[in-house]
Amino acid sequence: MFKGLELFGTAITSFFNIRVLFNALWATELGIIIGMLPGLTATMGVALLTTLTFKMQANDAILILICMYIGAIYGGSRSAILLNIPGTPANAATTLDGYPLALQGKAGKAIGIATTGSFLGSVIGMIAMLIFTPLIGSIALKFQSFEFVWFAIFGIIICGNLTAPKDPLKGWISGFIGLFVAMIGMEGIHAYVRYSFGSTELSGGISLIPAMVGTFGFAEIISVMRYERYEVVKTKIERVIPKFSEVFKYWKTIIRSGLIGTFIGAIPGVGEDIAAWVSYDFAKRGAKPEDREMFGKGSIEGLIASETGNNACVPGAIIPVLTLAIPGSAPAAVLLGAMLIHGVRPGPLIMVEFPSFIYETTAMVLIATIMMFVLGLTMVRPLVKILQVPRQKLMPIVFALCVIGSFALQSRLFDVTVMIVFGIIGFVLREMEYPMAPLVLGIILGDILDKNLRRALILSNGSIAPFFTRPICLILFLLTMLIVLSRAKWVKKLAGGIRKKNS
Amino acid sequence: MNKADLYTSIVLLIFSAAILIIALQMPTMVDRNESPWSGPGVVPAFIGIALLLLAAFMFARSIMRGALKKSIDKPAAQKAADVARPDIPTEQNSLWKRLGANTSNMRILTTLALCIFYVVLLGRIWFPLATFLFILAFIVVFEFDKHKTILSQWKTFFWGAIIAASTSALITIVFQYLFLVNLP
Repeated sequence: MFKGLELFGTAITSFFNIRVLFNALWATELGIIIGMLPGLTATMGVALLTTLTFKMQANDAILILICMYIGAIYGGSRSAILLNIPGTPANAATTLDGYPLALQGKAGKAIGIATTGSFLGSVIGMIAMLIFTPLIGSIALKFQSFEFVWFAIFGIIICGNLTAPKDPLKGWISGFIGLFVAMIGMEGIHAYVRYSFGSTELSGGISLIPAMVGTFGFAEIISVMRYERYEVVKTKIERVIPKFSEVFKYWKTIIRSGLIGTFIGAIPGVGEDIAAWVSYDFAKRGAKPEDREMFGKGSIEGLIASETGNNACVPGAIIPVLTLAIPGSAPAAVLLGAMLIHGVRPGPLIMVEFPSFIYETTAMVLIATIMMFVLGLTMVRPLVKILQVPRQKLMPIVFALCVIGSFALQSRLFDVTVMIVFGIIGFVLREMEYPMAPLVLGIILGDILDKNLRRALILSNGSIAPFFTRPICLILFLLTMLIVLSRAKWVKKLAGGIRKKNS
Repeated sequence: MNKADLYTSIVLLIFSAAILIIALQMPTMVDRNESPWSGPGVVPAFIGIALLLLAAFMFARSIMRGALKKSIDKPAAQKAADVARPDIPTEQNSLWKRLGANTSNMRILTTLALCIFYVVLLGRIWFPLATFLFILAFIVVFEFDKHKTILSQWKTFFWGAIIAASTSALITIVFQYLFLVNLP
C-alpha cells in the first residue's frame, strides 16, 4: 500500500516538466473541443490521437490519450447544455437538466457546475483506481484460461444486456458478431488462416482501430449529415465559476454518482453513457420529493449526477484495461489498443512486468483531470464559436481525419476500406437498434476467447467440468445465467407466480 | 420493427450457419499430433452455434409477435391518401421513388457517395489534392441551392475552395512533418 503511494508520488513528480504539461494542455483542450462537437465522440478522438502519437514515447502518448479521453467526455456537456445536443453519447443525460438551465439564462452556472461535477467524478474514480487496480491485479494473477473464457462470455452478455436495455437479444447478437470479426485472419496457435477466402489482406485480420473509427466516426458522420440543422447558441454565458456552497450542498449525490460511475466503468464494455443514466436515475430516486420535481426542468442535482457519473466512469473503465486487458468502455478499448502498440502489455502480468505503470496511469488521470478543470472554467466563450461551424463544413474534415486515422497505423489502404465497411455496418445496425459497444468489445474479447478456450480444453482434455467447478468460474457462470434468465419473460412470470403464492 | 427483425434473423441464420460450416471444415490438426481441441475451428464453431441460437430465438420471437401477419387492411380512402404521402411505402411509391423524395435518405446517400469517391481517389492521386477536391465537393454539394443560379452562389465556391485548400494543406503539414505519420 505505502509502496503504491510512493510509486504514485514518484509518477506525479516525474510528470512535472514543461513538455509533459504542454502535451496535457493541448490534448485536453482538443479533447474538450472534440467532445463538444456533435458527431465527434471520445472514441473517435482517442483513436485519432493514437495514430498521431504512435511515433512518440509510450508515456507521452498514453498521457495524451488519457487527456483526450477525459477532456472529450467532459466537453460533451457543453453542447448538451447550450444546444440540447449531447456532444458525445455520454452526455445524453446532461441535456435533461443542462438545457433547461440554459433556457433559464443560467448557462454559465450550468457549465461551471458540470465542470466541477466532472472534476469530482474523475477524482473519485481515480481514488478507486488507485485502490482497486493493484488489488484486482493481484487476484487476476491467479486466473487461468478457464476464468478468462468466462470473462469473455460474461463481458459480452453483461455489455449486451446493459447497452440494449430494451432488447438485450440485439446486444448479445452484436457482441457475438464482434467475436466473429475477431476470428477473421491468422489465428495464434497453428497460424491457420480463417475466413479470409483467399484474400491476403483479410488474412492479416481486421484491425481494431479502423473498425472503431468506422463504427464511431464514419457512422456518426452519416447520422449527423442526415438532417439539415443549424446550431445557434441563443443564451448568454455569464459567470462560470460556481460557488463552493452550491456544489457542496450535493456532496451525497456527488459521492454516490462517483461510485456508481466508477463501478459501471469497470464493467466490460459498458461505458459513460450508461454510467450517466444510471447515476441520474439514482439521484432522482434519492432526491427529496420537492427536489425530485425539478428533475428534467433544470435541476442542479440532476446535472451534477450525470456529469459526475460519466466522468467517474473514465478511470473506472481503465481499471479492467490495466488488470485484465478487457476494456471497460469503447474509448478505453482504443486506449488498450494504443498501449499494446506502445509495447505495454496490460493484463494480469502487468503487476509483474510493469509494476510502476499502474501508478503512472493513475497519475496521468490526475493530471488530465486537473487540466480539464482548469480549462473547463476558463476559455468558455471563445470555444462556443466552434459549436456554430455548420456541419457540412466540418464533417468532410472529420472524414479526412477518419481516413488518416485508419490508414496511418499500418499504412495500408485496406484499413480505410475496413473503416468504410464498418461505418456502413455500424450505421445500419444502429438504425435497427443494435448497440455498437458489444460489437467492439467482441472484437477485443474474440482473441482472448480464442486462445483461452482452446488452451483450457487442451488442459482439461476436452472436459468442460472445470468450467463449472472452479470457484471463480462458478461465480461467473452463475452471474451470466442470472443476467440471461432475468431478461426472459417466462422466468419473470414464474417469479411473479411464486411471489403471489407466498404472499 | 418485427418485420425487420424477421428479415435480419433470417440473414443471421444463414450467416451463422455459414460460420459453423466453414469452422467444421477447418483442419483439426490431429494429423500433426496435436490435441483436437487446439484446432482452429473450435472457437469459431462455438461462436457460430451461439449466433445460430440467438438468431433462431429472434426468428421465433418475431413470428410470435406477429411479423408474418399482413398489416391490417386500410380503407380505400386511406390508401389513396398514403399514395400521396411519400413517407408511407406503397406500391406506387417504389423504393427508388421514396429514396428520391425523402431528403434525409438522399443526404445519407450523398454523404456515402462523396466519402467513397474520396477513398477511391486515395492512392491514385496526390493526397492533398484528393482531400482538397473532397472537401470542396462536400461543401458545394450540401450548400448548393438549386433554385438560384450558379453565378449568384460564387461565394459558396469561393469560401469552400479556401476552406478546402487550407485544411488539406494543414492536415498534410501537421501529420506528415509534425507527427511523422504516413499519408495515403
